This record gives sequence, C-alpha cells and structure tokens, in this order.
Amino acid sequence: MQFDIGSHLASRVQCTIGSMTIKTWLDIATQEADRRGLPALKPLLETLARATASLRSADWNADATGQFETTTTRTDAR
Amino acid sequence: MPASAQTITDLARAIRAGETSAEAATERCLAEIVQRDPAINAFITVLADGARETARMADRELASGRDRGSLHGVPISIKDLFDVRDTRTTAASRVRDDRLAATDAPVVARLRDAGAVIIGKTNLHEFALGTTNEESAFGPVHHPLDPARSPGGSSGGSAASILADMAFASIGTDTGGSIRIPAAVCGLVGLKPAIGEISTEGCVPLSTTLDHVGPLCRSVADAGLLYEALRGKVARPSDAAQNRAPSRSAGGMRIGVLRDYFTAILDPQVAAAFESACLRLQEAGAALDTVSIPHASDIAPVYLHIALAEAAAYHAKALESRGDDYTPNVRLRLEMGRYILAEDYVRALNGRDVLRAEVNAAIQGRDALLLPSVPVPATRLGVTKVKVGANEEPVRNITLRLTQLFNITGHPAITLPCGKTAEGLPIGAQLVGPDGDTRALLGVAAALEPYFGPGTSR
Repeated sequence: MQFDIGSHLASRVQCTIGSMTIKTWLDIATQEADRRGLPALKPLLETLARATASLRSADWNADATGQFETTTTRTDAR
Repeated sequence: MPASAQTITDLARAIRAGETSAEAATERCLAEIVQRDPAINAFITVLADGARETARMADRELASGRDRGSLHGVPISIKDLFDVRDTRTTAASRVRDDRLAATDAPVVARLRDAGAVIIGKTNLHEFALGTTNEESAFGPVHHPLDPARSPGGSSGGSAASILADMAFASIGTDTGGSIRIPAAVCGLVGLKPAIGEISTEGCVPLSTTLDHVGPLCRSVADAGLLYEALRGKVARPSDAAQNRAPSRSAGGMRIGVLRDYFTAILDPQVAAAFESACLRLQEAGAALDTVSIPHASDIAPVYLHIALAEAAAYHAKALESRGDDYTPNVRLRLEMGRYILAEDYVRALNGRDVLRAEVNAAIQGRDALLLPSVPVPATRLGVTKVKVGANEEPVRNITLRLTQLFNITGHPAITLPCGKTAEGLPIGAQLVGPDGDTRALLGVAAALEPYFGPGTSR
C-alpha cells in the first residue's frame, strides 16, 4: 500500500533543505494555499508568520549552542 | 417576576418553601423561550418534553422527602458541544452528522444526578472557534439587551439563555475565554475552574490542553453550587446559604491588580468601571497593589500556536473531506493551524511554563489577581474591527486579550459584573485564583462580589 505523505509534509521536507527562515516558510505556505484553492488563507498565514516570529524571539528559547536565542528579530516575518 | 431573574439559590429556597415548584419554574423558562428565542436564537435544541417530565419528577421526589440538593428542579441549559443522550451534538456546524448521543457527557450526568432540569442545548460559535457566535450553522445569537450586538462567545447562546430568563444557569466551555467573555458582556458570573478539574469527556474538543468546562450563572454562590455539582459533589440547600454568606470579608484581603498590558487597550467606559471597582474594593478594606506579568506580550503568540495546532489535529480529516461544510472563516482559521510547525508548538509549550510561573509569582502572597474581563462592551454583529480609544482592533484579538492567559496557565478565573456603559451594556472584571484552588477563588469572589458594582446578574 502506498501512502501519500501530503502536500504539507512535502513542503516541510522542501523547507528543511535550505535555510528554514519564517520568510521561506511563508512563501511556501502561501504558494501551497493558492494551489489548494485557498487564496483567502494568505492574510492568515501572514498573521501566523508574525506571531511565529514573535514566539521565536522570546527570551525563554534556548538553543543548542548553549546560548539563549535572542538574535532572531521580529522583522524576520517579512 | 421574570422566569429566572432570581438566582438558583433563591429558586431552591422558594421551591422548598412551597412558593413555587420545579414544574412552574420550568414552564416559565419554556414560555420565555417561545416568546423571546425567535429573536435571540440562543437555542439549537429545546428539550421541552423531557424538561417537563424531569421537573414533575423533581417535584414528586421533593414531596416524598428526597432532596438531591440545590440544583433539584432547576432549569439549566447546555452548550451544544456536550453530549446529551438522545440528542444530536451539533457544535453549531454542518460538519457534524445527525447521530444522536447514546449517553450523557459526565458533566450532564452529574447535573441530572443533582436534580437539574436540562431545558435545551444552546447555540455557539461553530466548534467554539470564535468569540461572537456569528459563524454558526444555525445563525448568529443576538444579545438580549441589543439585538444588533453579539452576546459574546463562544458560549453566547448559554449567556443569552440566562440573560433572557430562558434558563437559570448554563454549562459552557472556555478555551480562550468562551465562558468569561459572554458572561462579562451579558452582565453575568462566569467561572473557568482550574485546568483539569471538570471532565471534558463527551464534549467536542477545541484545544485539548486549553479546554475548560464551567458554569455561567447569576451569582458567585450559584457558580459555587454548579462547580460542586460538575465535580460530582452534592450541593445542599444549606450549602447555598453558606455560599451566600461568604466566610471571608473583603477587609484585609490582598489583591494584585494586573496593569500595563492588561489595561493598555481598554474602552474608556470599561476602564472607568474597572477603576471604580478597584476604589470600592479599597474602601471595603482590601489591600490592592499592582503586579505584572513580564512576558505578557507573548501571551497571544503562545496561545495561537497551542490552540490552533491542537484544533487542527482534531479537524484535519474533516477539513479534507468536508471543508466546504465549515463556515468560511472557521475553516480558514483551522487551516491556518495546519501550517504551524512542531518546533513552534514546542516553543509555545515552553512559553506556557514561563507564563504559568509568572502568574504564580504574581499571586504569591495574595488572595487573587484582578483585571478587566473584556476590553470592550458587547460588539456589533457584522463588524470585524472595533474602535478602542484612537485605534481600531480586530474583534477576535481584543475580546480574547484578557482571558486567554489563564487558559494557557490553567489558573481558575471568574468574571463578575462591575458596571454598565452609558448605553446600558454590561462590563465585567475578572478575579484569578491560586493555581489549582478554585474553591479559594470562589471564597474571595463571594466576599468581594458586593463591591464590584452594578451589573445585570441579580
């Protein structure tokens, strides 16, 4: 039996190949929303991208280098 | 007197004094439904026959000496997210099938055990994903005080059913504020107990780690009775009397007032009512000081990533097979959740721990925290933005702004009426209790209730 891994997962696999910035994610997500016939999703994805940028910039986020991750800027969403 | 312009506590006393009966109270509520609900649209299903039968049985039991407690014979409505046996659970959506529930959700069964009369199932924002009830397969709920406005949501039908005297209380759910928002803008008391205290089994989920079940009603004493019943405890008439006369007094209570983020965006009339309530509490002897939540600006992003990711997990299959059956905006918000990355969901869970610790620190050494419930009065139906001071804010964001933190952290929270606008629209203020201690919160709320100010609850 074959399983369709789904367009969402395919997009994420594609994301992980290159730099996984929020902008990259937003571009791919927007394209996929268009492909799925959901263009009205675009402004919501932009809202989500801004919220994600804010979440990632919070000072509780640790990173594997042992440093607190404080370099991600909220403008990363654009 | 209107059907239920009295509290459960008052009705329980009146029934036992022979001044009224469960059947009479139920008939009055049903009459109000017939007369008012065509314009309000609070109910999806009215259970008139079953309610009459239960009420008559309640009267017979009392006459024979069996007293199930203060909810015995009291008409109560149920948000249509809960299974009630032999009824469909619509979640206000065309996505749900017409299958009848085989059994009651545990909270409904507990209410029945306590003698409550289940009078009907109330309208809501589709799948509880919204704060206005406008997106419902059964049409919007209209505010009983102004049909051009929303009664708040998502438990809007629940709040409207009480305010319009069609039920004495209602059981709702609260994932980001869905009990407290409609209770506040309808001038009622709404209790979100501590996380995990009340069973969510048999209830259509929105966000499995944020969902809470609780009552909407007309007084803190009633909220206490319903809270105990929902936990499977028997609330006796004598308990009601105790709840009415709180064991603590306002004098000497220590209350932390949340400001900054929590008062930065408020309608001027809401701000004035809140400050008046603070003054009255101080005059009553409570000690108020200002406390802060250092990461308050992260509340909305944390909430969004938890709530929508969990909602998307539940809805993904139906979105693929029945996407067109959702109301358009609910569908889009659920689709939005499907794009949240696992790493960001985990970041949000970490943020939840940070925020919980900050709320614990804020309440440390105090009896409760105090803040407004909703920054604006009831909003108009059909608008997506509302003016607050000089700015326009999205209705959804502004209505969730002050409630969602305590879904994230799980602290018990209760809204009480604290005034009205010049147009007569109710305003609410929230008290937040110690982690896991809803009873302590109810004790504080009962003591402070007389000082909160005029509302419409009683």
